[in-house]
Order: sequence, then C-alpha cells, then structure tokens
Amino acid sequence: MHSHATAAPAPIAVNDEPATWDADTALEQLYALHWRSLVRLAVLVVRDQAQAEEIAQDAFIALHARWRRLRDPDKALAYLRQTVVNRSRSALRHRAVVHRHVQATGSAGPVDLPGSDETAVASERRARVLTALQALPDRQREVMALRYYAGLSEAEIADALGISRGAVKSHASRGAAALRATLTDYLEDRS
Amino acid sequence: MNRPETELDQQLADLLRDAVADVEPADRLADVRARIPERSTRRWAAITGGSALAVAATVTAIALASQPSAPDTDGNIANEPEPTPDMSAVPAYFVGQTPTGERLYREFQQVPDAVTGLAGLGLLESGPADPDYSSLWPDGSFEDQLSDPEAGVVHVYLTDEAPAEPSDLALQQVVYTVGAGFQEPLDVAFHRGGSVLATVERAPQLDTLSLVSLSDPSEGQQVSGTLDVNGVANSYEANVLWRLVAGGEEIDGGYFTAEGYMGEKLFPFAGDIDVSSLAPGTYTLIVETSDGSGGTEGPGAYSDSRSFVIE
Repeated sequence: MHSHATAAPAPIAVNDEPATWDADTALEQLYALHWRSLVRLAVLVVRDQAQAEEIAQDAFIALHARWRRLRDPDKALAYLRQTVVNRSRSALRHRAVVHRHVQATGSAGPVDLPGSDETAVASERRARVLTALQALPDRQREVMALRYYAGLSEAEIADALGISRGAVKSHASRGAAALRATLTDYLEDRS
Repeated sequence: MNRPETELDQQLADLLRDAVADVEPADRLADVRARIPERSTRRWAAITGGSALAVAATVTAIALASQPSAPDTDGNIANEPEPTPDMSAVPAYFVGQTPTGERLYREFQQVPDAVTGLAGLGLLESGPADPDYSSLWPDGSFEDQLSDPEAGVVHVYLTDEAPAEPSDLALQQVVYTVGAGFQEPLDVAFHRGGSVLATVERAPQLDTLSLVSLSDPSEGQQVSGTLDVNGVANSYEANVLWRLVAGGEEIDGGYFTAEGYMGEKLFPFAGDIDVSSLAPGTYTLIVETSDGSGGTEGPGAYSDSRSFVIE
C-alpha cells in the first residue's frame, strides 16, 4: 500500500545497534525510519495533518529526552507510537482550539485536495474512512489505528494504551463492527 | 493480530493504510533539533565547581532539623515524608540569587497546626530549609495577631525586630507568602506602632520570582526508587532542564515539560527520575530554565536545586 516512491532518506551508515546510539544518533536514525509512518498514525487519530506533524515531532523530542533512560532501546518504536497515540488523545481534547487554528492558517488534511476523477474517488474514499474513524470513541479509534495501520498485537496495544488485553479485545471488536457498518460500500463480503 | 485474521480485518487494514497513503509529511527534523534544549555545559561546570559540594555537606543536619515529626522507620523510606495528621505543607517565599539579581523562590515546609493563611509568616522568621535561600525577616518580626482578608486586603503587624525600612523584595516576600497561604492574590497592609506603614499589592510574577522553583523534593529528603519532582517555571518552549549531581559530577540529566510558557506566570511542571540504580549517598538535583538561545542572549538560565539522600 506504500505506493509512493519518495522513500524516507536512507539512514546514515552508523552502527545499527540501537543500544550503542547516543540520543542525537537515535533521533536521526529513528526519524529517518519512522517519521512518515508516525505522522500517518497520528493522522488516523486526529485527522489534521499539521497537527499530526506537531504530535510526531513532540514524540521524537520526548524520545530524545528519555533516550538515556530508555531501558530497552529496541523498544524505541513502541515508545514513539505510544507517545504519538497518547499525545493525539490530549490534542483531541483541545479540538476547538485546533479547528480555529486550521481555519486561521488554511492548513488542511489530505481530504480537501482536489484532483482528477480517479483521484477524486480515492480522496472521497479516504475522507470517508477518516470520517468513520473520527466517529468512533477515542479508545476504539486508537485501537483501530494501532491494529490495522501499525499492525500491533493485542498485547502490544494493551501495553501502548495502558489498558488490559480484555479491554483491547472489546474495543477492537466494537470498533471493527462500527467501521464495517459505516464503510460497507468499500467492504466486499466474500464470506 | 499481527496478521489480520479474517477477510474483514484484511480489508479494514487495507482501507486504513490507504486512508493515509497520500499523507506526505514535511521534513521536520531541523525543527525537532531546534526544539531540543541546549545543554549549557559551560554554565553547568561553573555550578558544579564548588557550590554543589558545599550544599551537600550541609544537607544532613538540615534534613534532620526540618523533619521533626517524621517518624524515621528504618528501611521503609517513603518518597515523601509522611506528614502526621496535624502537619500541613505551608508555602513561603524566600530570597535567592538569580541571573537578574535577588528574586523569590517558593518553598514548602511541614508545619503543625497551620490554621491560618498567615502561617507562612512564621516560616519567614524561622528561615528556609534550603541553604541557598535566605529570609529578609529576622525572628520575631511579626506580631502574633491573626487577621483574615477583607476586601482583598490582609493586615500584617510588624514588631521592632522587623527591618526599619523593609526593602521592596522583603515586602513582596510577605505579599507572596500571605497570598499563597490564603490561596488568592491579596494586598497586604503593613502596620507598625499603630499606623499603616504601607499597603502593598503583589508585584508581577515574572519580575519578582525566580523563573524556576522546586516544590519537591524537599531539602534533604530521603528517596528510594523514584525521585518525584515538581515545581513551577516559565521557561522557553516549556522545557525545564534537570541534572543529577554527585561529588561535583553530573550523573544523569534530561528535561521536564511545564504546562505552559510565556504569559505572565509560572506554570507547573512534574516528572519522575529513576534513582533505583544510585548508590547510597547525597545527591543534588538541579533544574534550570531554557532560554532558547543556548545562553548566548539574555541574562542566562534561572536555576533551583535540592539535595536528597539515597540510603
């Protein structure tokens, strides 16, 4: 699904053992690898791209601050995702402010892009998926994003959100059911 | 769940990935780097040169003196000394050095039977727990005359022990302490010998207070496992830098994020530091404001410090 040819810049050739990185190296390496996917993860939760970029930036700054104390540097990506989702949730609490900001700056998500017919169909589909996500309760939306976009396991989601596996299971099934209902046009019943 | 199990899962995964497939974020690495606080090592070296050691040497005695009623249960060290039921944490403002001259720092002390918002005045007389601070009010400066605020004014009665002509900063020490005691900004009418010396309103925070002030840990606090830190600050990008120092050497560092910056007040910050691997001994926590210029512009960083003890 990652059809874009504009790949993230290749990581600079350094020791690829995260445990040996200092905070600055970790920042560069992890940014090169994960910047785009973390912004996209945030877009799924907060929708607004400018805000998603802010949130992802905050996550990298938090990682840099914490690097020396991160017990397991191999878990850096998990930490980044967790920070993105948590900060996205906080950001949504300030929705009204955000909306004013978006209007004032003219910044907008991908949904408003005009284009050819084919592009328009894709844009419409993307907009409807994002709208369907927005309609979910916060936790369900977070679980949907971590499960279907980031591909996390139930245990990993439970860890990232600080909730039980049972709660993840419940949010996942309700969220999926709700999306199935609202996105029925785009889902083929092959069962 | 790593691999979607059902057809529906697979289709939802495709839809969600597609929904953001056209999101191409701008390159923000430079912005991220610019927002990482400067470490200001040079100034740091100056701080650790001598004063931290001097502070450490005086800590233990003060720790004992300032916790008269905290029962010392060996090996069962709470992060914060458990106050007995009648103790309460009373805020008082003390004078300390900053890059812009003397300013006020807020310190909390455990006080028995603090029934009035004026309890902090007793602390101004008895002095700070933190040896970096001082009070401009000697013992016996205030008469034991209780009064409640009326119409935004509270009355404070000075004795002959009080400075004959209290400085503006001394007056603000009282105004801020009494305001914190009653939890509202109040004007203070200073009385002496039956007449009103002056009625003083609270001066602007950013002109009067140190731009960073620690509330926890308290001076000489015994800590195990995790050091809980909180305080107030007004620092560039809300970054409050912290360092742990032992024997003049920095052993850890990072930063906290305050709830805001700019504006006209100090904002709370809080965080915890894992100290479980530290050997027993006395350590100093230093917090600093960040000025965004790396110390090349402006007066330099405000800082506050506390010593704490790992047993």
